[in-house]
Amino acid sequence: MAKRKYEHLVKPLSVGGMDMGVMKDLKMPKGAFANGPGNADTLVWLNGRDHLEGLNLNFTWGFYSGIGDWHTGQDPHTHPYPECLVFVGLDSANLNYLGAEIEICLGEEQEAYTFDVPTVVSVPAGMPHCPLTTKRVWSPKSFGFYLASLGAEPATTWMGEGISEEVMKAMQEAAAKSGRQIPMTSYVSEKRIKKNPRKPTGKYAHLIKPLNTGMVTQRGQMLLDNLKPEQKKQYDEMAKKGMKPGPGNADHLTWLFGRDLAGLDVNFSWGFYSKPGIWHRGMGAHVHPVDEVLVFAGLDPTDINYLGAKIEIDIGEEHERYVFEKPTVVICPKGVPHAPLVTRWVDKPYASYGIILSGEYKATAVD
Amino acid sequence: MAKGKYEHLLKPLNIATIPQMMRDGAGFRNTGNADSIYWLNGKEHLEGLPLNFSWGFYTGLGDWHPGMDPHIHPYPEALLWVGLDPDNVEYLGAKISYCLGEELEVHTFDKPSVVIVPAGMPHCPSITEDVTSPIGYSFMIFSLGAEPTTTWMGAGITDQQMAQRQQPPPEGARGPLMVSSFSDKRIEVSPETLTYGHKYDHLVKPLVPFKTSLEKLTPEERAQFEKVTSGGMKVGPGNADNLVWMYGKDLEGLELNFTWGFYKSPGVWHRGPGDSDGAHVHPTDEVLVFVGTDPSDIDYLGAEISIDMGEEHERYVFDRPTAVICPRGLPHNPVIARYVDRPYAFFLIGLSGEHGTTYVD
Repeated sequence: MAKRKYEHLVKPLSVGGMDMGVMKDLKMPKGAFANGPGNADTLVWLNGRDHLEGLNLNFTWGFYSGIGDWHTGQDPHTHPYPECLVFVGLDSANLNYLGAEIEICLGEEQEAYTFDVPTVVSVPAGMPHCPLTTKRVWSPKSFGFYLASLGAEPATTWMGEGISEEVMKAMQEAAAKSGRQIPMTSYVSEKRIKKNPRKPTGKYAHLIKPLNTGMVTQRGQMLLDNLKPEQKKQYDEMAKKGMKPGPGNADHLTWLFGRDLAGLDVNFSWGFYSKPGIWHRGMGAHVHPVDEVLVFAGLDPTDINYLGAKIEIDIGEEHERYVFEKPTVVICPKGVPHAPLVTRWVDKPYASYGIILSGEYKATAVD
Repeated sequence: MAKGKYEHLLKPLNIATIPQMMRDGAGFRNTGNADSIYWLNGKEHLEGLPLNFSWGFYTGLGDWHPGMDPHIHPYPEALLWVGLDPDNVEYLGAKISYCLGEELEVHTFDKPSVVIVPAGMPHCPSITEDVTSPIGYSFMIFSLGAEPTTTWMGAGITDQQMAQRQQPPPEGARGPLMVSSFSDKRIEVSPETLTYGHKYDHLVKPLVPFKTSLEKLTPEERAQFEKVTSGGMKVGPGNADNLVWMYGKDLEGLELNFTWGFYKSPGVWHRGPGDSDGAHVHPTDEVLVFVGTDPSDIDYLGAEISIDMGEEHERYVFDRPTAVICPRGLPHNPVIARYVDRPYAFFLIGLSGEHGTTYVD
């Protein structure tokens, strides 16, 4: 097929695949990356440098069923960029179901916060966070998790007592021997912190938000009565433009903005989709003043490469059409027209999330 | 609608709306004839195809062409009466009586039906005896000639009716819709001249839904069905819940096959084969016709549809009743319903007794 102008903007998520079986089986010292029992069963991790055309973003999608620490001995850790950690359920009929209990430590104090509903944790750049521990999992399908990290290159400084430069080196070497590349650049802090979760004082409570505090759509209808004044204003602006959801849009969806995310320069959506048809009526191709990615992921924890639907999206003012039926990310650089999105068929409900690199969402229709 | 190489193949049906004044002028007011109607023909609208077809909504009782019938055409045609209940393709909601042959053999039906009329065979009067559906019913003509042409044979034709058909169309109106002539031979229609035999029973057939007919396929029909679905094609979510598909062998050998069905859901119509979801060609011409089901507004479709045309997959999108002309050999599809506000209807008119399909990518 002839090369097309925008094909570099449509990537199967499998380009960021990390074989967690291999990662966990790597012969390296206890405490190496991904060696925690609570970490992902399967995971993709795409970053701006290698996969996302230089976007100031790296993100993941993975399925989790294990109990315990995610990075045994390595935490807390910091990143040079802020990030959102998004914990979601896999019950496509219920946006508020997580099916697991999670504990996350925040700050050097390791204030331990626990939740058992879909939740986002916003972590400012440089702030120590984790250990992250899956305390219980009662969902028979496990649960899902994604990172939205505002840096093109995944980079972590580990502060846990169980990590050493030797461990790091051994991990990299073992990965290289197995033909795997670890996208994360890891450093070890001179300052070490002993794992010691403490009762929360509430100091970091503002960083933890249940997903249902966003603008929520349930059974295809936005819950207008639940909107805060600023959310209502935003909704009214969209409605004024004649925008309304099409039949292919989400059954259940939540959308959180920078104001909900400790002021981070990001807004994101998370939703479940089960129907064919166009996603938006009243606005087709549009542009944003900032970059965004649209992620389409399946909900079958036994096969991370299964989407369960066939979707088409137009990109560019030429309306070049791209069609996919595998988990995919569509990169929408600022100013590049994209949409309409049309779901051709759905065999199994799937998930989609958008990550937009601004605290607010702005869209301008172009035709 | 987007401009492109194939835009001449997509025609909004309202290019062939017959204005009320022309219908009144034809003397069909307050009769069983159409409340609103489109009538497209090969000469003016369909890129020269040897076809003219109509789509209209009907609520009135009585004779459709008082005094003028029977009539003949130089081409064969199929006349379809269909209901407007999207949940029941077997519901008509009206009772029709229809005369066939010089014998004026009366056939009466109250289910969706097709009447096959060979070229040159006298037919009509058509009389709507009763309408039980609260929104009326619909009727289609599929005539295998590019130019609508009728020779009227009724003994009741008045001088005024003859004059009306020889007048130029009103200013600004398209026309003449029909090339009319008047036979020297006239046939009297009265209770005494009507007959009730069975000579033409074979020309009147109920529309049998595909799901029902699928269960009763002959080996030959099964082979034809499997040919169409070979290569991995399966029905997509946007396709009809239940439709009728009749071929030349069902239509007394006419070089025609057609479908009729209601569509209620968004999504692609065909899944596979191939990434294109079923782009294909036919060895003969066909027309795909998308119409609404709201009798109060014939220009309302109630859905937004996209279709690809050509090997370049030029995409066209429309939300009004539209005919898509697919000349033989020209790739077309996938068809995708983007949204559906109200169930709509679709009929395919293929200019061959069989429906040959070759998938192209």
